[in-house]
Amino acid sequence: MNSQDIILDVKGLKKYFPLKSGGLFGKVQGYIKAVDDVTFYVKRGETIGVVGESGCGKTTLGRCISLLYEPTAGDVKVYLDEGVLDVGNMNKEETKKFRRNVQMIFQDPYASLNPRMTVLNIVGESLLVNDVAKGDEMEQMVGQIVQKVGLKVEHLRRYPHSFSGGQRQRIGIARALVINPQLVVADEPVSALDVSIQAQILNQLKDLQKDFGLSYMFVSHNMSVIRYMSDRIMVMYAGKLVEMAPREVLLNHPRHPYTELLLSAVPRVSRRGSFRLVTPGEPPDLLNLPQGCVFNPRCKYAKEVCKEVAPSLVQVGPDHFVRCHTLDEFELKGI
Amino acid sequence: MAENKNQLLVEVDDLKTYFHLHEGTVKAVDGVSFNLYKGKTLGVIGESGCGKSVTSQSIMRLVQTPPGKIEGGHIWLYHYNEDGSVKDKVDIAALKPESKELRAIRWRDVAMIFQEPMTSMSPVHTVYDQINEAMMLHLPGITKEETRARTIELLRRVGIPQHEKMADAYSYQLSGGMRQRAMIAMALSCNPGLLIADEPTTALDVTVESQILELIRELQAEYNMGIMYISHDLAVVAEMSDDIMVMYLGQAVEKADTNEIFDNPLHPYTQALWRSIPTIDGSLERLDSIKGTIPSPYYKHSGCRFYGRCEKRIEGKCDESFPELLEVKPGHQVRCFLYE
Repeated sequence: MNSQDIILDVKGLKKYFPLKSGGLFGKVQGYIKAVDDVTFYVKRGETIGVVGESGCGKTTLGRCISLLYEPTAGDVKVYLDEGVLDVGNMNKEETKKFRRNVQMIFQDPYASLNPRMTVLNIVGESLLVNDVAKGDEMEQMVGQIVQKVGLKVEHLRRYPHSFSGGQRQRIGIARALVINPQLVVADEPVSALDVSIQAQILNQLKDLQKDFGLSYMFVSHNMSVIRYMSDRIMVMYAGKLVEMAPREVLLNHPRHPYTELLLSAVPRVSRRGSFRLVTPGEPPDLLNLPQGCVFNPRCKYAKEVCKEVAPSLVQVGPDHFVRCHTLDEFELKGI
Repeated sequence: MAENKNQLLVEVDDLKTYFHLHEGTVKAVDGVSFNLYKGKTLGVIGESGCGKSVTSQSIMRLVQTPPGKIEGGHIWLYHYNEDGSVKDKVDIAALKPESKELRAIRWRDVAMIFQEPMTSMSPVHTVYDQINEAMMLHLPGITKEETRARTIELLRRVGIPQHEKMADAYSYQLSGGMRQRAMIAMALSCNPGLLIADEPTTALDVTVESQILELIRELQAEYNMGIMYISHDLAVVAEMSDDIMVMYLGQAVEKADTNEIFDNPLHPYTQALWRSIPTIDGSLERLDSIKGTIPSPYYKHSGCRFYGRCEKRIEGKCDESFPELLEVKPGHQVRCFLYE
């Protein structure tokens, strides 16, 4: 692939959290493999959706990409307009450049805004820290972005408590975009919002993407929201990337049994009153992962080999990658 | 036993539940009426502050007084004779808090499952202890051996593996899905006629959610329970319900059977809500968002509560008088001046 087209290239990313026994000098007893050997890329100007159930590692992955967590291993490269950043080996200057260009929007608009700072200071802080603007100039820039996300200039002197959940999420979006980033990681940005407000924020994010030429990594547990937002979709399970494909391919022709299960479980207005396929089992305990393929205990297609050997990620079509031993042996159902 | 599917279980009539707070009075439920029938599910849809949870808590009389109080209306609970004729009816709204009559109704006639089973189960009692307590209180004369056997049978029925061992587990030892199953087992322990489910799958993963939804439907078919299913998730309510009531700011704005309300929504709020939600299999066109935000609960409306956000509002009418919930065609009620 031409590096002109991609903004983020991730190879073999791992994030292990050590499990310690009690006490200050507790011994490391094992690791939780929150993200385990994840390889993917984000194209310039596109939205990649990351979907999965709790504990699948989607949030940890987003946090590794925006450097809120330091990855345990892996190769992360960011291709910016002004050059390539190798995230593992950045000096101070490069780290600053990275943080200016990769921003994050958080799930909980109540917890992610400092209650003792005004909107002006919350949104303007990154302009100050990065020596982009201060004083009147900063206020002007903040005023512009705040209007762009659907708030008013009068709101600048107010504190977060005087805003509704939807407005707070807009403040969070303004804070991420004011510094003019190229890649935005949005972690469940509408999950805490009422349904009538969700559409406002989703549409706003789409408009801003067009206006600023942003690339999004959009993390959500909600497959319907992921479908609406994404050009390509990554499905994660127990820390592993199990399938990645362009949206329509993934939804209509899934190749991984877990993708099939996930799609069948999504509640649908069109399914009124009819029964659906239900598969027993729950997402696995990360402390006690099964041998072989992590999905094998819940997989109705599992074979002997699935219980012994972990499958590796293989390319099965353009932009389509799957991690499964039973490829092509079964016809899987999409939406 | 007469297995009449359309037996009226609970008739809620003009229910008003208000909260008297320092900042003013919140009319959380303001004149809501609906019926719940044996073997049928009423879905209640609405956003935060619409009063859907307070309505259900009023039926169970779980609203804390003060500050909350049932200010008006009736909640008639019907009991039937063997032949299907009405034996008696009790107004739950008029019962004294903590009275014997009220305690006899909870769990036996009406049981409830909640959104977060972690906070609704005791962390210091085993699953069996909690189910046992409900049965001991509400099924006089039952013995310890019987409650034990029944608990294990219920845990098996709701799909908890190793049910004998799990009966002695504490709630924190169970996963979210298993905890919700245990909660359902507890709700079923006294064989209630009506089950109120208040967002029971909101905290669960989607593959686990689908298991719980199927379980609730199987149990309904088996026990012929009436269900009041409350959720903000349209698709879940669509899958679960026979009839649907849409609530907005303490009032029912539209009521109809599930097919009718999805195929032919009438209220501008319902219409806008349907168009604003991303789906897994519908159009990928730009979502229509509902403008503005939900008004403050203290705001005093001089007309329709949806007026400020409505795209079809009639100036001079919708902001000055209050629309009534009217039946505009058989079985389809809507609260809007467009249909008067």
